Amino acid sequence: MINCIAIDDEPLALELLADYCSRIEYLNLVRTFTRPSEADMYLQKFPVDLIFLDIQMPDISGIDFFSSLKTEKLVIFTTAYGEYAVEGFSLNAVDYLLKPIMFTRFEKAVSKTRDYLDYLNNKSSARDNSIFVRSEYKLCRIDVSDINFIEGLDNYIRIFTEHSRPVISHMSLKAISERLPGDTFLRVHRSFIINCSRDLSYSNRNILLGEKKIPVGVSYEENVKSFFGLRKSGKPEVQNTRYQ
Amino acid sequence: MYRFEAILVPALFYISFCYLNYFLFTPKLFITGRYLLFIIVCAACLGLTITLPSVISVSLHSFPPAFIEGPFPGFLFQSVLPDFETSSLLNTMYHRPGGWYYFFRPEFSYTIIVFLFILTLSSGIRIIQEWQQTEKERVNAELAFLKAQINPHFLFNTLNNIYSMAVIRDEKTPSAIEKFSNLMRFVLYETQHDFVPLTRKIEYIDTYVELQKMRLSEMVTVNYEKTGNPGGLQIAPLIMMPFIENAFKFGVSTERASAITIRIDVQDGEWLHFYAGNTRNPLLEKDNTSSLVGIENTVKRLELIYPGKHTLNIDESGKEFVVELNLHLK
Repeated sequence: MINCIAIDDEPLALELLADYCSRIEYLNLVRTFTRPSEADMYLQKFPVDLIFLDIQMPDISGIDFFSSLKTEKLVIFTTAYGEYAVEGFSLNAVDYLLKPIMFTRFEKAVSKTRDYLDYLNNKSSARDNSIFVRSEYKLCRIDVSDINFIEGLDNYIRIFTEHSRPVISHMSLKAISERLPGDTFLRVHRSFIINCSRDLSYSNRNILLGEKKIPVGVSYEENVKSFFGLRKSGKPEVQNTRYQ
Repeated sequence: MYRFEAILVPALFYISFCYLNYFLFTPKLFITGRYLLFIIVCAACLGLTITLPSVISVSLHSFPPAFIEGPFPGFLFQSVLPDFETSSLLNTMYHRPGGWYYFFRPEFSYTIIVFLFILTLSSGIRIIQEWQQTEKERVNAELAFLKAQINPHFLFNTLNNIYSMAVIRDEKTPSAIEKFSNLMRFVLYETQHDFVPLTRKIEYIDTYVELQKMRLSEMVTVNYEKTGNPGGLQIAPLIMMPFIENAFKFGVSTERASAITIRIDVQDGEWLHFYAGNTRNPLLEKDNTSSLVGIENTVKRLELIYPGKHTLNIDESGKEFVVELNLHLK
């Protein structure tokens, strides 16, 4: 069960959220507030898992309100003015909902929150094969088996998946590799991690993954060769393992 | 005979130059910034004005100009110089336009002065007219833009609220949509006129206030009063609305109780007393200057459309922001 509160200066927006929350059984909307100061006092006394927070309010913006909170809370921002309203703020928001909020979109954001809470509490579930990364000011869930390879660019990584657009996140390759299962993912270059369960071919210090040619770094060559069974007498599971 | 031509032929040149310059050279060359070409064209015209009338005049008269008495026919103005200038010596010069002293003839100075006078006059008139035209277009475009404008935040907020009402099956949803539709009709079609009936304008304000009330929390009180009979009166658009929008923009707070007051009173069938007041919220005023621009524009419009027919008093010294406007509509 997720306990949540909602803050919005417009009563009708709160009524909408209350209606949506009542349709989702694992979501418990404890209270709604039109006064952020009242919500602040409430949050100091009672534990809450999630806040639905409007960005444009007359006395304090949702972003300022969230930054001023003493304890870390999960937040889903709601805004009528598009994502530009949150650009430049790297807050730990789970999601942003653009008004008018459709129920399906709301459901998606809430289910992501549930998975993230499970993930934080290390609860293993059927959805265990997912990782969470921050991308474009919100939390993004990626199915590990969907990842083809990950490219590192200075302080950013780009995650290329089978089914959706590449996801860009502000973190290092080292940090992401620690969160990936070591038996399926292999570091092959200073800036590349690949998913070994894909069809791969190796030649000329390059790995061909689908259409994409990925270079193999000098210091990673040994690792790669042993993976392809070139030095050791490993199983030849990969086709075209010709090495020159 | 030639005296008549001596005036007519150069005069025709001056007149045609005047019109050519007004309709062609100034708008096509000077205003578009091709100054060098403009100077060349004008110099060429001056040259023609100096030389051609003489040539024409001569060719019209088959008799040798030596017989011509008096000042030279090619120029509009007579020489002020004494008689000897008109002697046969000058007549001889006249026949030899190639000679260097030809250009020192005193008559030229008159031609040049008249030419420059016409040039300055026709160009000047044209430039002033062009400037007035662009200024007028600019003001019109600005006004059309302002008229067509509706605060997008208000628009989206209202739509979002109607969406919420529809989701929670609020029975007032159809009436909210109807109000919204009325508002849009007014904004899109009726603000295009220079004047609108005051009754329509007040209906619009009714709708606007109703839609605004829909989104406000219980911390905000809205007092909206109408008195008098607005029938038969007309008002220019964008006179009252900027003040009302302003009151709703800056008079709301979620933390403190605040009030928005709007009063419209029509007296004696010709006077409009308008009042808009709101509790000031310093947190909102902090980083918003755009509303002041809106008010400045309204003040300008009042001076333009109702000169000497209005009094406007804006008081922001206290806890309330108050606008009082008296407008004579007849």
